[in-house]
Amino acid sequence: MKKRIAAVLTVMAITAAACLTYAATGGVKVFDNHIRTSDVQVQVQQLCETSSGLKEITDGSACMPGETCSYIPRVTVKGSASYVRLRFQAETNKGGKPEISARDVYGLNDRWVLKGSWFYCLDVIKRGESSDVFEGIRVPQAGQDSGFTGFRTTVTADAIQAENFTPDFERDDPWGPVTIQASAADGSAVSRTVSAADRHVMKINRDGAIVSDSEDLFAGFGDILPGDIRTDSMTIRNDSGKKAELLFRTDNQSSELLGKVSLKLQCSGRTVYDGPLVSDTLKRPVSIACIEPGGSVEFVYTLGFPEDSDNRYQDLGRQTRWIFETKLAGSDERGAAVRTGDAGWIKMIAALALCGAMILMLVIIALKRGKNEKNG
Amino acid sequence: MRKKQTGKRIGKAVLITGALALIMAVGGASAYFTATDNKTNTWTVGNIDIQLEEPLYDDAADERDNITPNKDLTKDPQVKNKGNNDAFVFLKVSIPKADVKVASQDGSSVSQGMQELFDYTVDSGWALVDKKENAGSNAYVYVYGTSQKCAALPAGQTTSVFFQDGTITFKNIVEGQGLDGTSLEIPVEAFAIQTADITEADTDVPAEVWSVLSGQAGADETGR
Repeated sequence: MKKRIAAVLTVMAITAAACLTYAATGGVKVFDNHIRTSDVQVQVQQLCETSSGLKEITDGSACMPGETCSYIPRVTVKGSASYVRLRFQAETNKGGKPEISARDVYGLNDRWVLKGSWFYCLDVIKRGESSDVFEGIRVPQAGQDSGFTGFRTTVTADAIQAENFTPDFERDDPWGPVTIQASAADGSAVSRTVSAADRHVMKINRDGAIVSDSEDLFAGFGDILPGDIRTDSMTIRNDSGKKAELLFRTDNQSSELLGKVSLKLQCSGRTVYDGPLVSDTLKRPVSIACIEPGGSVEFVYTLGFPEDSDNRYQDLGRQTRWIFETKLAGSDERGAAVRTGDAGWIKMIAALALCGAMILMLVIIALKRGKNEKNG
Repeated sequence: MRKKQTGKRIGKAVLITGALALIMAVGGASAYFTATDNKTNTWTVGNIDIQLEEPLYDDAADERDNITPNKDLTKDPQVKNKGNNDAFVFLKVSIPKADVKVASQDGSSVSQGMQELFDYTVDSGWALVDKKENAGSNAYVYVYGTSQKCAALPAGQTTSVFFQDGTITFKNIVEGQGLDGTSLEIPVEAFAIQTADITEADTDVPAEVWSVLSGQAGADETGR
């Protein structure tokens, strides 16, 4: 009899412990982080000065041989701040005679310098800013019988992101061997305003729940450009009163952009992950820290967008979901059991109900057997 | 045997160098975000070319022989723009004068003095810009337009005839004043200049334009 009672009590204790352990786990916090790439866009206009102000030049505009002609190429940066260069080409109607070249321009803006066949702007041109490259051209002299009755001008403006790119204006080719592509931005992009990032803090409460005021850990990153490295951090504090293990995993849709971005995670100076932002490694929970009761760790995350990223990645926006889970001391069930959207309290009630039912069943069995023995 | 080993080492070195060069070439290409835009424009190289015409004058040669007082004579100068560009047009007309007696139309009175030998009315499409009195003539400069503004004569177009109705009238000069048998001339010269970029202020005020034009050798000029 004593043995049976002891067995029942043991089962009850184990079940109760299991229930209590489960009740203490299940903290989860999901961050939906938004990453967006910037854009580079440039527009070139051909203007001329008239008595009524500047106006766009139309085909067939007239100019006189041997005289200067108002012709103002204006470049406007429509995307992120950029370096800009401009090439002026002219083709006359008589087999290139007389010739008109970049050396026939006058009134070159001080911000610009001629290197080879390109005019380079020495300064960065900001988003929405315009710059007039020169004031006009000198039309060559030609006799009435030369047949020089017209010519065609073409101006080409190239822009390259100013961030992470450093031209060398001492060289004949200040931009070096870059490949210029047409902008992939459709012009609808609006630059994301970067708010002064509040300090990210995440707390593990006494009941194991994880709370944070932040919802997007990338909110302070702004739009990124190739070559950008962006770092931010979050303080994770353990107020649960128990030693807590912190687990981290991601949940990402497949994306070319996310696959291009690199991620480095550090906890209190220790690198816990260094690889692509999208990785099978991060699909499963990774233990990133064990935090003593009352202690905290500094979770530092660094994104890298490689400079070999071309215009395919322009003006894109993607989301990456980061999931933090906790496992408090005494738990033999990892927080991994908790998934995004789980209602922990439902499982806890179900577990308690199961425990109660088992205890009740064991008590009934014990009582029934005791009664039978008594009757027997 | 030694030679073979040396040859092998050289072969490896060449291979390694080749691999390094390839890596450097690939690694040296940077992409970044870029953009490009271009615009093309065609230009017409202009010229100013005018022709001073008197379409009826040549066919009326007979009327100019032995002219008599009060005789109407055909004189219809006009200017055609043969160039590619719009032009501002000026005419310089010299009217001969002499110290003579001129009777009124009805012969009731006679005026004596230095005076022009022809009566005429300038068409309203022209306006006086300048006048100079010379010994044997008065030289007038007229602009095609108004006294405030030159009118741009488009390429291919022709001005109105300078003298109203294309005629001038020999005055009613009293005979026996030494004009008999003399030859009288009414020289007309036409000038034209481009309509844009004449001055920094891009003026179209006749006096200012004429000031530039009269001092410029390159202005197109034609005379009859």
